[in-house]
Amino acid sequence: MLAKELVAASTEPLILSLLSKGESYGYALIQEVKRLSGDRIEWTDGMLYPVLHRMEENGWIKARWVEIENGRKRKYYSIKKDGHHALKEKREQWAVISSVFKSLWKEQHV
Amino acid sequence: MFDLDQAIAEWRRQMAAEGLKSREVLDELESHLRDEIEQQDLAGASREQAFENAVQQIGCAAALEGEFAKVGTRTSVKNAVLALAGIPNQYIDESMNRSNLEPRWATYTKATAFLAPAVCLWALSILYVVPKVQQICLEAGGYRLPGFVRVMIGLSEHGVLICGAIVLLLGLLEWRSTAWPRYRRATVGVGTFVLNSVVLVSIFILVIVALTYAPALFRHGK
Repeated sequence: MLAKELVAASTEPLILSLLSKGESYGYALIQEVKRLSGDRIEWTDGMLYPVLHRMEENGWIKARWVEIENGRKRKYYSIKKDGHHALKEKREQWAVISSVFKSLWKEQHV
Repeated sequence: MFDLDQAIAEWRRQMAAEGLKSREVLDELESHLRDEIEQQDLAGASREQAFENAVQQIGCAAALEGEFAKVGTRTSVKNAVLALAGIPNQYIDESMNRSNLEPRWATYTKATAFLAPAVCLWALSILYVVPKVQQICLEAGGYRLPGFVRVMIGLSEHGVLICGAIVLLLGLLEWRSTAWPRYRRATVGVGTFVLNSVVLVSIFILVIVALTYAPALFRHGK
C-alpha cells in the first residue's frame, strides 16, 4: 500500500490523466486506478466524490448525468480546457520528481 | 427476503439524517453503490452481503460531509476575493511548495507597476483637484469635504512617512520571517488592490462633490 500523503498528492493528477483519455464516472475511475496500480492504490470510495466536486468547481472538469439501463442514472465527468492546462503543469512537476529519483538511483546501482 | 431498493432508500434516509443532505450527492453515491453491488453480485456474493460491503466501503456520512463541506461556499468566496486581487487559486493550493513561488522581484515589480498610476493620479489630485473642490465647497456655502476624503488627505500629508513605514515593514518581513515568502504574493496583491480601490473611490467622491456643489456656486454667483 502507498503512503497516505502520496495517494492524496497524486489523486488529482491521476483523475485528470484518466479523464484526458475520455469521459468516465466515479466507480470506473476507482477501478481503473486499482487495476493500473496492481491493487496498490485503493481510493476510499466515498472520498473520491468530494475531490471530483472540488475539481469541477475549479473549472478543470465538467459533469453530466447519463441514463443507463433500466432507468438508472450515472454522473459522467469529462476534462475541460483548464483541466488540460492543470494536467500539463502537474505532469511537469511529477516528471521533475521522477527524473531526480531516476538519476539518483541509477548512480547508486552503478 | 432482502429488498435492495428498500435497503438503498433506507441508507439514503440515514445519510441525510446524518447531515449529507444534497440530493445530487446522494444520487451520485447511490449510483456508485449500485455499481459496486453489481460487481460483487458477479463475483458471487449474496445481494445482502454485497449491499453491506458496499455501504461499508463508501464510508459514513460524517466523514463524507466533512470532505464535501470543504468544497462549499467558503472556498469559492475565498477564491473570488483572491481572483479579484489577481491571484489564481492554484497558487494558494500549491503555496506550500517553494519551487512554485513567484520570485520576489516579480511580486514587487508588479505591485509597483499596478500602484504607479493610482499613486500619480492621487498626487495630482491632492495638488490640483482637492484645493479646487475645497474652494467650490467653501464658496457654495461653507461645506466641508466628506469624512472619507478628509481622512485620505490627512494620510497623504504623511505620505512619505507611511511609505517609509511600509517599506521598513516589508524589509523586516523579508529579512526575518521564514513564512513570509508563502504569503508575500497574496498580501502584496491584496494590499495593491485595496490601495487602488481607495484611490478610485476618493477621486469618485471628489467628482461627485464638485458636481453637487457647482450648481449652488452659480446661484451664489447670481
